[in-house]
Amino acid sequence: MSNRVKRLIAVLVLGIFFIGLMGISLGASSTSSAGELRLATDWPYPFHGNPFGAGAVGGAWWFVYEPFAYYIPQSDEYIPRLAESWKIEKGKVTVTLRKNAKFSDGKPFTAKDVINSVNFIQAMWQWPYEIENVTAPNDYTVVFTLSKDAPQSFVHTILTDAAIPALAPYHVYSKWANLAKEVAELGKKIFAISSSGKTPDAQLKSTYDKKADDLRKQVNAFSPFKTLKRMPVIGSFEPTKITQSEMVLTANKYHWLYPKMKINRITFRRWSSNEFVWASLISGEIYAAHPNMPKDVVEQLTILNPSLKVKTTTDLSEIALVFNYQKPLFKDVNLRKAIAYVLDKSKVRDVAVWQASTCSPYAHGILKSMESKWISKDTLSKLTKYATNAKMAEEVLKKAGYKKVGTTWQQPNGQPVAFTLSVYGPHSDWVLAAREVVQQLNNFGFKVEMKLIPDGMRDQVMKSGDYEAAIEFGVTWQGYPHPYNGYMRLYEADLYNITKFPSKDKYSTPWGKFSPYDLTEQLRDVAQDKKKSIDVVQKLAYITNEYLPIIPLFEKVLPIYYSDKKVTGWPAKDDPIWSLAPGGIERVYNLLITTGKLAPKK
Amino acid sequence: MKYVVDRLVYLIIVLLIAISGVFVLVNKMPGDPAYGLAVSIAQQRNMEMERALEIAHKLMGIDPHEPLIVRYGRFISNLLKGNFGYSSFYQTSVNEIIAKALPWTLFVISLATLVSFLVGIYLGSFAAQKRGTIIDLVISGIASIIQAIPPFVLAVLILFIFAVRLRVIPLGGAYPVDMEPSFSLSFILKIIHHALGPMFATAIPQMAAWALAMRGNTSQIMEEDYIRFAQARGLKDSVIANKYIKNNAMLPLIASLAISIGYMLGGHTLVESIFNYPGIGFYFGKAIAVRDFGLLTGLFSLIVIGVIVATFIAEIVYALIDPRVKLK
Repeated sequence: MSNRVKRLIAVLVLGIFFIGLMGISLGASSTSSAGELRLATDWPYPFHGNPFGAGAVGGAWWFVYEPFAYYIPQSDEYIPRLAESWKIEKGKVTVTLRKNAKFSDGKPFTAKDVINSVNFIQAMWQWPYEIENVTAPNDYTVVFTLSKDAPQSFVHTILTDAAIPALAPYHVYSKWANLAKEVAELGKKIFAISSSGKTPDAQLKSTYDKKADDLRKQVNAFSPFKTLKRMPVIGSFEPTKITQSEMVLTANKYHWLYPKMKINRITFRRWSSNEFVWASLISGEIYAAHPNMPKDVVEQLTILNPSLKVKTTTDLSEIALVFNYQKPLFKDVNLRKAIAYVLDKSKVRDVAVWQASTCSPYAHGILKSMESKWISKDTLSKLTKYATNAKMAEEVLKKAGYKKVGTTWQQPNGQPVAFTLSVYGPHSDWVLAAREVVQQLNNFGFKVEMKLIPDGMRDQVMKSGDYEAAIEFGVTWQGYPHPYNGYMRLYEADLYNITKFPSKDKYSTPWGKFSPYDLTEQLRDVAQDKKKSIDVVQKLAYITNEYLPIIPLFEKVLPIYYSDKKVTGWPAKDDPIWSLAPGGIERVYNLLITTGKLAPKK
Repeated sequence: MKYVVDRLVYLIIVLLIAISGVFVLVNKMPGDPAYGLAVSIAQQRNMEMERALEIAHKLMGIDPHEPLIVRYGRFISNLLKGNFGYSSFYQTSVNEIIAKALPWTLFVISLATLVSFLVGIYLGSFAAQKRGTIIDLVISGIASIIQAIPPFVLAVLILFIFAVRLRVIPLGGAYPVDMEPSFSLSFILKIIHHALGPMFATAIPQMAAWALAMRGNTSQIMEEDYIRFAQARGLKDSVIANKYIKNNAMLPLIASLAISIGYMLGGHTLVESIFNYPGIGFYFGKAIAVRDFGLLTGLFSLIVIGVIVATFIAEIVYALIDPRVKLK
């Protein structure tokens, strides 16, 4: 090697070392400004600022858009945001808009913006057709007329979905307002015809397709960030600087709660990997995040950064063992009950997601965290408890004609109790749960094998019924935190479509014979009436617990890590506000900022 | 000249096979590119999956029933025009995405290649000269261990040790968010400073590989007759090492350089996500996560073309500098 090359290597290595050392003086971490909150999320890049474009606005969503109200599941209360008040009548919701709400460019927020937003989302997303029309008696009142098929629960969507009030401000999207209105009307017409079981006219359909495609192309290509050099928002923060790695939001000084706000800037780091988020939390580069972490990492985290606190809140969903009712083996409720007794759900939880909450001992279809709010003590006393009890499982099986030959249980027809347990491969926590379930069932004397569903194939496999038993989401309340949501999934919608549990059959209860399907329909119609809802829920809970369409394993939780080193005012661990996190944790931060609770540490 | 023409024909054939392979592999991946979007639509809007999937297809402009052969034809004809395809997720051309992200990736990869190659061959030849000594044992042993560590594991270690604990390198990003890109010295220093983490995570395993390869080549050459003859002539060890051994030992490694760039690009994808570094890796991850087949095919094609062309260039350069190839 020539001396010149040697010198080059030396210079190169020294240069890099020098820059590394200089990094200490340059400051390895960027300095935070007072009044800043640092978080982690994901967003589309290049950033366009168009909610209808690819990737929408990413994690900035709850800071740039406001719903009419926030709903806190734990305290069962609505907190008004863009609405001052609302009135719910049969098939109609009247919302009185906040008069001092303005967009970040100073333009006032009026009924015109709501009407335009609804037209846009119906035209672009073919949703929500439950809204038949929106009228404005004056600038600050909107009346939503609901379609006759709209469930009562849809009122909750109107009030709490941030897409409805001001996704498409009229002054920003006026260019396409008429076309959006036209497409929305045509879409609703076609949807109504299809819903009544008829086939829409081909001419009508082709007119709709042509206009809808035209609108979609034009709107998708629109970038307020490029065209207007900004993104006018109704929310508390406006995105002002975006790179591929960071997104900076600046406080909207026209927001009606701006005078209360003590945080004036939000810096998002891209959630590029869990490792990056862990490192950022430990080093104090971000002040709050909700990554899943192994137990040992959490222990290290609190040692390395004592200012970090952790709060777990329900994720409003549970993981369950589900059965394919097309397979004769699972039609016997006794076998399902035996499985429920065999499984040590706490152990499954510990192995799969150590921070999750156990669902034990009931399987009533109500999330464990919401049990006390929806099921009376009297009903609970009527329900079978499925605490881990192998003896009880044996008793149930023997009574039903099963017998144990050697180490294997046999069905009354002499066939062994053998089946496969399918699980979606990319969900590592599900795979761990499945492995533990298989082991426990095999130890008891069933012949169970685990089968992995390849990446991207979950929907296809489950919907085609190409499975016997599986690990899946059980009841989930995301989107609408109400028992109706869970029972609808179980007896009418997604879960029913893959299990085919005979939900229209009638089942005995202490109150008579009912079909869970009919009860779910009833619950839909009384969803906004808590007292009537509770009445229906008791029957549904009884049927679900005693006839076991699924066996819940554990309730998912959202672990939230937050530091009070740079910002203070985090709520107490038992504060109901945390329950606002599932489906949009930024709502919690936004509520804390706009009420002046979160403030920079002095 | 004949050698160059032969190589060129070979290059075109290999390119066509590789590109077709990439297309078939990506398009035969299980799953629907609209599935992820459909799931979020279904969850947020309380909607049945079937309807959500239909909406997602429309939103992303995907026709799930289009035959594969039609897509392949369009893909090849676009590629011939220098068009790497269209991203269904970003609703933009892949070329536009590549133009934004590739410079960052190339910057880190170039730096990593330069450092790993130069330091690696120096360490390898040094170890060979000290064959059998403790120095040789230490260099070879450490290199063998480091070579086996995947770059993303090393990235996590570097992140936690140097960024979190020692705080000598930044946690992530290409430059501080409050800094405006410019040609100022402070900005350039910041860019280099931010690139150190991903650069070392990519370079260190490769450096070990070069060191081991160089040691092997050097040891082999030291057994050659012409080296013994040079020693018999009484030439100084330093002259023999620099004039007779190193250049000859380095020759085969130059041909491997192109392949190593491809290998580094592959490993660099995860490294970028661990350091939150903007580049091709970010889009790769996104494309896989959302099943953006257009973007995935485009990015894979870019890498395949890059590696094959780099290999071709390396072979030509090798022929120019190695008289033995010319004679053949």
